[in-house]
Amino acid sequence: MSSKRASTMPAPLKPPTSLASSLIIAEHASLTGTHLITLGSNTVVHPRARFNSTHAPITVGSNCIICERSSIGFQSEAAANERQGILIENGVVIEVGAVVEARTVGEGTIIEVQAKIGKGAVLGKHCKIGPLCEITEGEVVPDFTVVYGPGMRRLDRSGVEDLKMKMVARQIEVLKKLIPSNLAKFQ
Amino acid sequence: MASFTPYTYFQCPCTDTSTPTRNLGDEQPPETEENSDDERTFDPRAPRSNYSLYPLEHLFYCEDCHQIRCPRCVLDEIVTWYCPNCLFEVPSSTVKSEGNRCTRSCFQCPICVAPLSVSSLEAPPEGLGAELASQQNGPFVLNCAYCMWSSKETGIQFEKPNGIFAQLAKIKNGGEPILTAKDRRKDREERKRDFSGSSAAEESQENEAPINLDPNERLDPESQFSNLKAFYQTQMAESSPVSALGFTGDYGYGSPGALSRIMGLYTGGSYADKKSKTKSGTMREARDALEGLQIDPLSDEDAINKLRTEGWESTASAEQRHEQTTHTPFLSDLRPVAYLLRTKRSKRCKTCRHILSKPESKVQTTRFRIRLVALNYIPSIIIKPLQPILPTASPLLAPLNPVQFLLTFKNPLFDSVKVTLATPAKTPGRFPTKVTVLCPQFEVGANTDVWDEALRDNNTKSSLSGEKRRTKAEASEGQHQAEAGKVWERGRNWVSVVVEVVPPSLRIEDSEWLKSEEMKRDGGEVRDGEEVVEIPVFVRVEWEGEVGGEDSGLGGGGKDKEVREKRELAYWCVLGLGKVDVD
Amino acid sequence: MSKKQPKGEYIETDTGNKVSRRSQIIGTTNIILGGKTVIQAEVIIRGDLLRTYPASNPSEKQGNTVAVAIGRYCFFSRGCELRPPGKLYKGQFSHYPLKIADHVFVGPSSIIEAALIGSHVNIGSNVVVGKFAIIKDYVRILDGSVVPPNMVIPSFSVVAGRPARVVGEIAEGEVDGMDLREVYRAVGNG
Repeated sequence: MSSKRASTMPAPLKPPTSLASSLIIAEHASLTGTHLITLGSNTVVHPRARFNSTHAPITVGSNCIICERSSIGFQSEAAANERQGILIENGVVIEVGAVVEARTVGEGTIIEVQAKIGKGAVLGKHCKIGPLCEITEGEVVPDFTVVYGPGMRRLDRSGVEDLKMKMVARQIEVLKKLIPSNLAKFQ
Repeated sequence: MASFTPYTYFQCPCTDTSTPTRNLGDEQPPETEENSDDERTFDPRAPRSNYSLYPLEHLFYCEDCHQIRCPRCVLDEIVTWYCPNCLFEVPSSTVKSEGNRCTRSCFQCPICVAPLSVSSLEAPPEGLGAELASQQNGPFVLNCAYCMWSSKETGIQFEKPNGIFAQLAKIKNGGEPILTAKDRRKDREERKRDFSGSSAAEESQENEAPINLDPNERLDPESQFSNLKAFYQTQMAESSPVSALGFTGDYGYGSPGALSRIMGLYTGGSYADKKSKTKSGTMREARDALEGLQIDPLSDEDAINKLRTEGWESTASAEQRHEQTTHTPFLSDLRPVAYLLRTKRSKRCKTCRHILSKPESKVQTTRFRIRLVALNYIPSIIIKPLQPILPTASPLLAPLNPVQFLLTFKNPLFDSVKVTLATPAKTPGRFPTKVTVLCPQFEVGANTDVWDEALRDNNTKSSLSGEKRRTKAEASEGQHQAEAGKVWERGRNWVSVVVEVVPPSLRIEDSEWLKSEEMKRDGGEVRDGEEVVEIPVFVRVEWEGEVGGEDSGLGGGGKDKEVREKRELAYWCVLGLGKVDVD
Repeated sequence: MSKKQPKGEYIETDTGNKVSRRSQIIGTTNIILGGKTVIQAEVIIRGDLLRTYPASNPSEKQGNTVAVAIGRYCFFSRGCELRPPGKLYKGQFSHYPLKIADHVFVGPSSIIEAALIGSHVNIGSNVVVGKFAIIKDYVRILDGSVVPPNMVIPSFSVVAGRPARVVGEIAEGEVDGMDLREVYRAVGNG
């Protein structure tokens, strides 16, 4: 309900943004905060996705998918090593309801439905954080890690990360047709 | 933690709790009391009680025994076997021959038990159904969309996207082919001929060429088993005529030896004697891999080396190994797990063998041919606090403070029933709760409207007006007090009565005179579960029912079909009302 | 429903659906509601995630695009989400319709990306149903479970865990209790 109100009332804090022209951002997405929010090319932001740059800037690379109800941004004061803000690299998929307070999310990583990435964590490249899984604050997760079940971990050695990246690109092509973008609203 | 949903459990009479049991922590067995069975209070905390208490939904009712039946006193009979993944029915003959696993392409992930799907290595592995694979060229792999495991990790790839079970049976982890049983049999015959020296040398050479088995090879468990089995079968067959009566290990009537012995019996012994004299076979043990012997000093060393190089990460967890059929210490040994079949079962009464529940045999239908559930025979009990709990109030019960609860009895029968409730004044146990049922005897109206279920949508008006009447009654009698001997509320087929309880104080250091007998005997700490107020209630239901055609046995005087017969059913219930505040 | 709004929480449609004013339904033209279904506040239904891969069935081609089809007497609790699943098929990515039959209860904050949910299915709170899962009739999914993608759950199963597996069976007597007509009637603007 708060998000609805935010969309009808004049946004109290419209953060400075740097949005790529090929970005797809749904009208009902919400960008709040005071620091810069950078969203890269061919990235798709679903409705009701939330970015909050109150405590630090947010940078999202290209070819990312940010799903509804996900929340990206620190929810408390940034520590000294977190001032750089949140960096989400290319080809990252953040699924429904995920909460991301990581410092870095590596290329091609998938953060599944309602996963929680603790503040200041660093996720490597091509990781998969399973549904409802949690990464604790400040944790460093190596490349190719799969987190699943009740906090189980393994390394994915299947070596198909290129195919996965291609699949994300295909998905973005389709989403571009389905989600009407309202870039102007956020610029 | 703090939240508590009231519950009602019904005791199935199949468990005999008349034998005294010992509580954990009891110094000596409790004295056997001289009480007759009827007067004894059912103790919900007795160690055995757990095994006889069920929610009403889990109970059956046998119309022939006129008794409640629980999952422990019914017999299950398998109606249909099916795979829970592809939902195909598996005939019981196949279950016998192939084992109780799906032999199509249904597999579970050896890492996390999620389902595996087939996909082509050329396409991205995520989210692909098996149907995709049929459109593309191999090789194919099994992969898990949950933990991202792929059969490629253990070196397994398939040529075709279907019939994975059969394909997997031929591939070792790492991709090497498994010799089929057929190949092995061929080889065995070969060797047998060599061994006995009866076959021509040329012939054996010719046949040996295509498959040359290494007598020191490392066998996979299945091949080892089949080798061993085959070896001992031959041994039995060869040696059985010599053994005293021909009865060797597995009474091998199928073996040629036994056959000749039987032949010998009919032909005057000459048949068997001749053979046993000519051949002096003695049993020997397996000598090499081809006979199923595996002496592998390397395996331990390999394992240690692997542990050294790859570490703990490479080992399989206990759960993962549990799912596997063979010994798999390392992740690289794990194999996709074929789905275990599931069954549809009918249930019979153990006492009279009448069917209580029978599902339709088709896998996809959810209907029942017969379904005699207790829900349709005995009144359900719903518990609600009489005074609505404010959201701010503690959900815990205050000790020594009387609380009233509303018990709603709903009658599923088409005849009105007379209900009699009996509770102990004090519940058994170290912390007794005082219980008073304000109206222990009442009648519940019949569930008259047969078509109610079907017509309920049109009936909403009438039920709504009923609702209104109730709320009006509540409003007019704001200080409506629960009166002894009177029903609180009454509907078409339901009645609510009030029960008042005084929860105990859980303090151990109470002064001596406050303590219960049990407490004096056992002054230990408050144990788990003792803070829950559970009230045993003995329910007796009486009604006059139509005499059915079949039940002539128990009712008595049921010869005339017009005659209505008096029925009675009595059972213990346990009402879980709430938790007591420990402080 | 702690806050009572002056207008009344629910909009009731001709077919008896009770849809919260605070639900977040996207792509309404691609959603079919069978009637007498309750949609609570903050429920998201992604009707906009349409099938883009051409349908093999010619009747579906002619414009009647459905992303989410829901039967009668379903109940979607606060904050849950229905989302058509997507996958790559013959090299093309597409979403596929999410079909839900009758008497399906979905608990608060659960995310559903199934392909098919049968009748009389009870899904607890904070459950994640993965892409293309198929849930047959009379299934109960306990709170906090994660049903992995592509899982098939046969009828009369009780399912729990991460990843979910069958942990029990629905007893014969529980079948009647999975009817949601009473639950529907209890929902009102009061």
